[in-house]
Amino acid sequence: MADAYTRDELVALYPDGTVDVQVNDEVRPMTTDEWSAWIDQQVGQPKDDPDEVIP
Amino acid sequence: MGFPYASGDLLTAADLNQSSGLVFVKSQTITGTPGSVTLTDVFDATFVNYKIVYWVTSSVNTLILMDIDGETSATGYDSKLFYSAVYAAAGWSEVLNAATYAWGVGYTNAGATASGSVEMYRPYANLRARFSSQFSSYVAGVANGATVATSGTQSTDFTLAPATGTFTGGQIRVYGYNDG
Repeated sequence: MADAYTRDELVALYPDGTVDVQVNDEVRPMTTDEWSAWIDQQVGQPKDDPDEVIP
Repeated sequence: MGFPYASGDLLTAADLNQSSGLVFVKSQTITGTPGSVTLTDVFDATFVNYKIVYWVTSSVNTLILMDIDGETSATGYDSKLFYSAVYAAAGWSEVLNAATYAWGVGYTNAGATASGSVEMYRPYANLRARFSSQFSSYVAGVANGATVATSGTQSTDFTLAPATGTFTGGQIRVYGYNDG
């Protein structure tokens, strides 16, 4: 079973301002509130799941 | 005029409408590092069923989630996804996504592309929309699922998102199945 992401790990990987949201051709950075909710949604997701990688 | 047509036939709009199969609806290039990509005004009364074809790249290997608008329940989606490593004689694994906010339709492949297609059944019909998909990345597999429909639900938009991380590129194309 793969390890799961913690909030601190996700914040380090995807700091505020580095994640966009795209609607059709419009791309903009997530607001801080959107980004925080996005981080919360991913806490507990498995890392590299499934954990096999093509050599 | 009956199909098949012959050399010299003069085709009318009605001829073309009844003989075209998959009809292009929309294409979208993924740019930046989006945590989600939404295509709006895709589903309407023109077609009953749709085919979505995509390729994506992503920051990590992760499940690809699909969400259609009109479904407001955070637990309104059920799907089951089967996959197997494409390079090894491994058995099938499965992911059950029951009572979630989005469907699992495939897996991304960090550092390479992942491709797949989704057959979307009756998203605009005020009914329980359903889908089936197939995909290939560093694993390959199939998925099926459904969403609870609430009264008056007509989905016009859909969103693709990685369960973890961001997309880093890709293309999404949508086609409608012409019913003649």
